[in-house]
Amino acid sequence: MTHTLHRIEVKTDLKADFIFLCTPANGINSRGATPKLLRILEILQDVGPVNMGFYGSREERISMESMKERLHDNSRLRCLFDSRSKMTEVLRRIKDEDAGLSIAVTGSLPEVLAVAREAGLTPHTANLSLGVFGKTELLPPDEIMEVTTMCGHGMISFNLVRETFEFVRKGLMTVEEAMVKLDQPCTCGIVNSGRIREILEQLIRDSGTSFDGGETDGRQDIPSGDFN
Amino acid sequence: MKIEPEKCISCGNCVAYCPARAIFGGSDGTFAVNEDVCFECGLCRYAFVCPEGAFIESVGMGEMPRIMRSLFSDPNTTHKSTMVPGRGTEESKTNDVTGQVRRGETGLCIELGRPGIGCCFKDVSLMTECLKNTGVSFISGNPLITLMDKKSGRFPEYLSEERILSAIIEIVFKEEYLESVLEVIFETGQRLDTVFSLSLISRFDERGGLALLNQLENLGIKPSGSAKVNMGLGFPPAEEG
Repeated sequence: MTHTLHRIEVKTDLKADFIFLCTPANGINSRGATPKLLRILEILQDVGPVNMGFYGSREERISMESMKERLHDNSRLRCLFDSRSKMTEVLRRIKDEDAGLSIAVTGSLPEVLAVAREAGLTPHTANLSLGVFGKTELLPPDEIMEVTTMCGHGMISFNLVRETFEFVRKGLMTVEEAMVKLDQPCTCGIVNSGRIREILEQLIRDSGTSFDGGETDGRQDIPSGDFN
Repeated sequence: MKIEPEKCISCGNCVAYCPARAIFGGSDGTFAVNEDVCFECGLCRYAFVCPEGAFIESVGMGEMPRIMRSLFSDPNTTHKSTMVPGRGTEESKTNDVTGQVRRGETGLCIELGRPGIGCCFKDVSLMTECLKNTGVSFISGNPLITLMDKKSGRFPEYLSEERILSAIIEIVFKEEYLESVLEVIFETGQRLDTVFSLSLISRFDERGGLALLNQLENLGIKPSGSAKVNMGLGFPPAEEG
């Protein structure tokens, strides 16, 4: 699916938002892919993504060593870089490795094309977000969606963002605690906590802003258990 | 999912996490799940959501039709029909070796329920039935295709009310039909009870450009800025055809 796509820019932009995806093509080049995936994972580890998860993990986060042990031929690698130079370095090194596995990068189109150019690559295919349509009146304000769309699987609920924003605004939660809380539901490890920090810091500067005060289904004033 | 009342400590931590907005407080102070609304995404089983482990599977969770909720909502599931994780195919991510979308063709991904609203199979069925009449090809390997009637484009009635976080319809067609296909999608979209996220897959041309950007501009559609780019490193390369 397209879980890395459709991020929106409201208070922050996508200039420091690069999602790396390595995908063995099922039935085409997936057989025997494990050592290649391992090598690519080592390159990723060496360059250092700011976030990374692992499919099938029900734990909050697993270690890089555990990821290496669990790799199999159909594993997919996904992680987030917040630096254009690091993203370029990863692509350059994978190109030199000549592993033959498909690599994609999701981000702002001009930025991603620039990264490809700097890494000496010729992009093959693009998947362009055209936006959201249909009954859009059901959606919350864009400021909330800027966070929820960081998990394309939809695991970060509108109410979690609404509640977390309110806790930070009221001083019941620190920015760092909020960053952890909003990252946890996304097991793919592609949430950009740096962008969440920026959003929250703007929220604090603009104190008094209420993020629509919408319903939280019966527990409007009940603080989360972690912060009682 | 449902909550074992004797394990619930009434902390209410789970309520805001639930993407389906399915958890509510009862008069005794404990919380419960509206199972009609639940997507079965499984998020509530994580320790950071419920430290007491009070969430358990709904009755019939492993069987049709309830299992469909989990397959189209929980990112940690793999469809037995495709052996591909997630709700769709590998789409553009491996197009350099699969050749699902070739030069002269356009792919569209119509993801119903995204972002964050969810949908029912009756919404999916409405869209696929209308698309079927346009003559587009549904991309193989998508778990939806195994459930859809190939002739009508409809989904079985018993799935109609099953709620899922999202379902992604993936189609491919000759690029000259873009305008007419989009017209059908937007018209049908007005009849849905949900939102949908739309994306377009296109090959880069020999000079590294995307000619479809001009076509989109002529149609008054401006891409949002977010894009996924396949870097062309896969081997063996897909044959052009």
